[in-house]
Amino acid sequence: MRKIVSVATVLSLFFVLGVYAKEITPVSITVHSLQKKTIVHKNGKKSVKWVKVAKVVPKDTVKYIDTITNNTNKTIDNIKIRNPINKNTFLIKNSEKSNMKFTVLYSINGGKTFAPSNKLFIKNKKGKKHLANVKEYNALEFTINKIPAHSKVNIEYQVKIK
Amino acid sequence: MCLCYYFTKTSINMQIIDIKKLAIVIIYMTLSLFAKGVIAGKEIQNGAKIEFTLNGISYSESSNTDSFVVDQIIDIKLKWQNTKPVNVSSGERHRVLTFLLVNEGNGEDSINLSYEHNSSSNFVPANAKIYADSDGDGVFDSAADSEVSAVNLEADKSVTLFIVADIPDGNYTANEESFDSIIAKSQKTINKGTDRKNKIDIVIRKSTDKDTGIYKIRNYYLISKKKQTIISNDGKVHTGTVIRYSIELFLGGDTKNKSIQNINVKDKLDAALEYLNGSLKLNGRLLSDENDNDEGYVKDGTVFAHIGKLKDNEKAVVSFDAVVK
Repeated sequence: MRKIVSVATVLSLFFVLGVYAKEITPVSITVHSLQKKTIVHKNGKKSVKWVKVAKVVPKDTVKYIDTITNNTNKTIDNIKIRNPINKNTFLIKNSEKSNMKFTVLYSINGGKTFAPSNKLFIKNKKGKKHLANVKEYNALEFTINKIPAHSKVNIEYQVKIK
Repeated sequence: MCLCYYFTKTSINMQIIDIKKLAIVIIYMTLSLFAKGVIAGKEIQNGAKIEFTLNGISYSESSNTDSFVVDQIIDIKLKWQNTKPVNVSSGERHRVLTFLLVNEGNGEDSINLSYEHNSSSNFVPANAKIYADSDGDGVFDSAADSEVSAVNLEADKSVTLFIVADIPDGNYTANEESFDSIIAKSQKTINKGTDRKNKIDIVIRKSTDKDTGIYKIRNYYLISKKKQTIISNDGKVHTGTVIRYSIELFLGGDTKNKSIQNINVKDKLDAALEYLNGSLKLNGRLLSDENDNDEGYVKDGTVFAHIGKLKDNEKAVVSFDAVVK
């Protein structure tokens, strides 16, 4: 009998801790990648569909979707989402989208600092500055003003495989 | 003893050099070596970070890591490099057609090579083999280059290939052609089943390529005319009769601005004849019989003469006397 009580106590503790653990993650984020697939219909017409990445070769386009979930019963303001841009890919200009209002900044120093595209300058070996090309960006930062309670927001951007 | 005719057997070697072809091969190789993208098998990872403040507390959360592997494109290109047909003549050996094989894919590829002769050709080269330019100088060298039936090529790399063949002895007409090809075929095949996110799949762009080179019988050639004059009072041949031979060499066919280089004459006397010492001449100029600094010599009943280069409207005459034994 004492054993049964002990087991029940431990299980209860795991349950409480589990709920607690869930509660201390008020916002969660997942990333997944998609690629374009051309579908040929029975009538011969073609359409392009985004599908899970399975076969990717250089020059292909990949779309990343970040899904941000507000698990709380409060609206959360001013959320920053940072994504590195893999060095074997480059960002496709103006491909950033979201189902919420957002702003986006870019980084050319591996995500240490972010700035608007017209404020990013790179110095060449001779010390001459030029405005960074989108291919020179190596991270981007979305800012979403508000995520309402118990809702999901998607942000997306596209990259090309070098 | 009456011998009406004594023929000696003459062979003439020559060489025609085309420096332009070599230069073109080297330039093409340099141009072909540019990047074709991320190498197959490279893992592309991505993960996001989120930052926000709630009830005065700052939070930072990381996402899962999304990853996939770059797949392999199979894309091979084979191109005949000679800018025009390779001129050949009857009996020439080791005549070379030059090709460039490029791996334009993004991963290492093993490529099978085979030779094909087009049946619409006017003649059939003999002993055709494929060689790889092992020493990378763009020029065929039987000592340095290896015969191949397959090559391994890393991404973006190229190899010069040669079809090396002999032109059989025969009576050809100028401008007759032979069409000879290399077929290159990748050993890689598409994976069966569904595409895999984290393993290398094969994407075929071009897994087989073929290109054809052309051998063409020269429309200019070396003509050799051999004459014999019997030097005797009765015009008949007896033991001790001297026979004067002259071999005349000149260009024939469409010879305008053409030349043939490195011409050598080798003339083996019949066993019933003996070379008359001190009779060897080139264009009327006496040569020594010894193998020394002049253009000719005689050894073991064979006359050798180095003519060198003959241009259009030029002529060379090798002459010597032989005595009937």
